Formats: sequence, structure tokens, C-alpha cells
Amino acid sequence: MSATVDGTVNGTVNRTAAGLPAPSGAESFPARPRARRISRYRLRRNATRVLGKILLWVVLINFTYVFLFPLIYMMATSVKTLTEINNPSIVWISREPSLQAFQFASSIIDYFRGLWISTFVSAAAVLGQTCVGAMVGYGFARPRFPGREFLFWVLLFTIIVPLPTLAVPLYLFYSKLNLINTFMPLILPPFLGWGVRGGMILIVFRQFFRGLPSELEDAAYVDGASPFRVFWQIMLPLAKPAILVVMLFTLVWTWNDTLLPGLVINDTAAYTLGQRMENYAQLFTQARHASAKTWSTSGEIGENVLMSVTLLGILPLLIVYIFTQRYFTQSIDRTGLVE
Amino acid sequence: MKLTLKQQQSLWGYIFISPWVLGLALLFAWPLGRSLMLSFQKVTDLFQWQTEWVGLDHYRQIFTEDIVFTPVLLDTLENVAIDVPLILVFSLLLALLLTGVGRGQTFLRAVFFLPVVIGSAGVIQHMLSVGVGDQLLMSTLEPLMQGMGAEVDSVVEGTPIQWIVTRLTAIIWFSGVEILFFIAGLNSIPPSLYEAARVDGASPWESFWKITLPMLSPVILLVTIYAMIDQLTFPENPMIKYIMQVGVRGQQLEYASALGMAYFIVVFLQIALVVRIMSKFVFYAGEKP
Repeated sequence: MSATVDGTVNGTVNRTAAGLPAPSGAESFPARPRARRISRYRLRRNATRVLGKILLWVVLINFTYVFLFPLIYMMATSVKTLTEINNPSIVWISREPSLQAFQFASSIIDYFRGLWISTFVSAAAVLGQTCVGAMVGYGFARPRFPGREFLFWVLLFTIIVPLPTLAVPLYLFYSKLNLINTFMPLILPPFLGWGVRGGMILIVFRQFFRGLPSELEDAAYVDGASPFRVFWQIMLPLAKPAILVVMLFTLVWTWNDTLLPGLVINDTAAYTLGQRMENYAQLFTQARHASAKTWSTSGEIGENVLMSVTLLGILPLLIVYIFTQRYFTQSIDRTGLVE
Repeated sequence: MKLTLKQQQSLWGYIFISPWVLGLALLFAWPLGRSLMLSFQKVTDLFQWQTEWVGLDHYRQIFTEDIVFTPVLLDTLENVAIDVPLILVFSLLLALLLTGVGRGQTFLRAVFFLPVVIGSAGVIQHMLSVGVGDQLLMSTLEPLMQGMGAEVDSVVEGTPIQWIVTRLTAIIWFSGVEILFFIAGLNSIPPSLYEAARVDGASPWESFWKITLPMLSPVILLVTIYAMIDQLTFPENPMIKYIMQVGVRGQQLEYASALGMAYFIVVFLQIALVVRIMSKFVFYAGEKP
């Protein structure tokens, strides 16, 4: 049972009296066999507690609305027609919902091509970042070698350097190797542990491996195993929670990244999904700022299409998230990042 | 040659981190050094790659002539100075509320984390720029205020509350990771501390300031650093956008490098300063250094 500051949680009383979300009032207490005669004092105390719970849930549900708002807004707007968007009497629910915006969206951004590219790039990044990240993280966590602490400080330092600081030399580097407009600049760095936010991934692995007891490894060493075998056969299977967390976060970060693709891919046909979304958003903004005459009347440029584009773009992530949200939200507990 | 056990271990250590070191050289150290050099140079022939040394010219230009850099930089600094404390307070508050919920916590956590998954893709930026976010928090306050017999707009209009609430909308959507950090931190505080305090007659309010906050201080430092990095380097950051625009679209390679270096130095100093100040207040329970 977790402790809270307001002290309302103290074991059984709380659970029986107010564990349910927002009970309707003091009268509807579940019958408690142990204490048939509820004293007046207890009644009052329970009433305050229930009131507190109700208030807590009111606040939390309010916040739930705020957090879900972007998604709800996207869904509601994407099925509206262009005239409905400009109609202030229709706030949320469209009176004539249509999927036409989605048709426009998928043809304008060439959705399935972008989907394939992003899936391919992200899958490769997840594979590389996880395998190499685990190895490097283990190297920073266990074997002692001269310079380990120094290199770890370097690792921390690399995290705070923004990409634009390195952008120009990186561009020159990749163009010298003829890798501009190929996916290599997006796929290769993860295999060196340098994917999107790679430094953070390495720290996650390092912290996780440091938290594991070293007796297992010692036993294996006594039996004559090599360090690589110890890592591969003993430590890696134990690291499943961390691996899963890293895979998911790498997926999200790579999928949503537009900075590095923006640097190395400038052929619109090879754009990742994120770039396509960004591209359309720019088109939309330009059209909105331009005079009303140039505003497309064919319906290809409008907020409904913009929201369809974004919804389509994040749809794969959304599906993954629905099935794996537990691993995201327990990531920090599971990897022992906060001890 | 026979290696001692210690030497063997070192060797394996280097083998394990070798991919990262290779990346460090190719993808970090070399570009960083080259970027630094380029920021003192002027490219006279892009195709033959001829450069000449111009010293601090670009930096002088950045700080004296560039009409975009200084305002955007000040804006960014102001945003960080205001948003990061707000993120801290807000996500700590939500984490406290969440740990008070028994059943339903899993669902709420999932909801609160959702914007992190879907939001970085410029979606949220767009919503804020269209202005849908501004009225959102206000509208959630409305029923509450009407219950008390007051109109939201008339009460909050022009007060700091309105300013904070408007600002919060943008912040809330970015605080999913921070909330998780705080929940993990809160759960790691031993309940026995609270029990002992309660037996001694401490109110929940007192035990928050005397137990929760000190025990949480390492997490607070961690979250502050995370939030700062997040704010300073996310792709929609106006500064990042400006530098990328100058370098990629404008083809002013040496100037973009100088901008990048200048911005990096600011980021570095800022984070170093905050870490230095905050680490004075961090309390480590037990034997940790």
C-alpha cells in the first residue's frame, strides 16, 4: 500500500469505505459485517473521507478530459465536413460525419508509402538501439575498466547537445558518403547506440544492470563462462523489463522524430510519416495565412484533413500504445531509474 | 600473453562499449569539433570546399546584428524559467493525487501518458497555434465556478490566474514522463516514516514538507534536468527550428554552426547552473553519497 501525504490511505478502512470511484453518498456504504453499529464519530469520519474521494475524482476526471482533449479533438474534427468546421454551432459531434477527409489525407501525403518507410526505419532503429544499447549499458554498469567514469560523464554530456549544433558537419559527412536521401543515416546510428535520445536509453540500461545482484555472474565466472556469454545468457534474459521499455520508447521517439529526417532526407518521395505530417501542416498554415481567394475550395486543405493526416500518422503508435500502455506507465518503476 | 583477471575484465569492458565509442567519434566528437571550427570560418567555395579564417565574426554577428537570435533566445530562456517550475509543481501535484487513488490508477496513468506518445508529432503545437488549447482549462473550471455562483471570465480575467491557466494547457500535455518519475519517487518513500510522524502528531501538511519533499529531492533534481532538456531540445523549439532553417534551407553552413555552438553554450551553462544550485538542496537518505 502506498503512503500518501494526506494520510487517507491506511489499509483496510479506506479500501472498504471508499475504494470505489465516487460512491454516491454516505448512505450507500456497503454493509460491514464486523461493525454493525456504526458510531456517530465513525460515520462523520467516513463521510469526510468519501467527500474527499469524490472531490479527488472530480479533479482527476477534469484532468482526464484535458489529457484526452487532443485525441478527442482530432477524432471529432477529422470526420467533420469543411462547412461544419466553420459553423460555430457544431462544437463536437458532426451532424453528417464523413470519411472523405481521410481519403484526401491519405492520397495527399501518400500515406501507405510513408507508413512503410516509417515502419521500416523505426523497426530497424528499435532492433539496433535495443541490442547495442543493452550491450553498451552493461559495459558501463559492470566490467571495471580505466576511464569508465570519465566516459560515462561524456555520455551525460552528449545528451544535452542539441542536434542543430552538429547538423552541418553531420550533413557534410553523410553527403560525402553519398547517404543523403537514403535511410542509412536513420538506421545506422541506432546500431552504434546513437539513435534518437540514445544517451537516455543507455542510462536506462546501465541503471537496470547495476540494480541486478552480481552473485549470478560470479557463479557463472566460477564455472568458466566468458563475459560475453555471461551477458548474453544470464544478464540479457533478466533484462526483459528494461528491453521492453527501451523498445517502446525508441519506437515512439524514432517515429515522432522529424529533426534528423529533415536533415538527411529532402526528397519528398522518401519522407517519413512524420515529415509528411509536418509538410502538410506547413501547407495548411500557408493557406490559412494567404488570402481567402487562394483557399482551396476542393476540400483538400482544411482543418479536417489536417486532423485526419495527424490521426493517420499517429494511428500505429496509438494501436501499439493501447496494448502496451502498462509497460509505458510502469517503465520507471520497472527499470529502477528512481531508487 | 596471459592477461590477469583484471585486465581481462577491462578488455571486455572496452569491447562492450566499443560500438558506442565508435559512434562517439564519428557522430559526436568529430562533428562537434568540426562545427566549432566551421563557426570561425567562412566558406568561400562550397564545391571545392575552400574556407578562410574569420575569427569571431560570426559570433559578433549573432549577438549584435542577428535580429532573430537574441529575441528567440530570450524567449526560450523565459519559457524554461517559467515552464519548468510549473511543470515540477503540476506533475508533483498530479502524482500525489494519483498515489491517493487505489483502483483506477492504471487507467489514469495511461491517460496522462497518452500525450507523450502521440503529442510530439507537432499535433499539440498545431493545436496551441490554432488556439484551441487556450480556453480548454478555463472551460473545465467553469462548472466548478458556476457552482459557487460566479462567472469564470469575470473572476479570472486579467489576473495572474488566467495567465497561469492559459500557460498550463501547453505544459500539461508535456508532463507525462515527469508524473511517472514522481510516482516512482513517491512510492519509494518508506511508509514507516509517515507512520512515525503521525504517531508523533504531525499533520499531513507537515509531513509533506518534512518527509515527502526532502525524500523526493533527488527525483526533483532528475525531473528538473529532464524537463529542461526536453524544453530546450524538442524539435518544435523556435531556436532549434531557426538554426535548422538557416543551415538546411538557407545553406549558410558556417553561420548555422556558429548559431548551434552559441545555443549549445547557453543550454550547457543553464543546465550546469541549475544543477549546481539545486544539488545544494538535495537530501540523500542513508548511505548514498
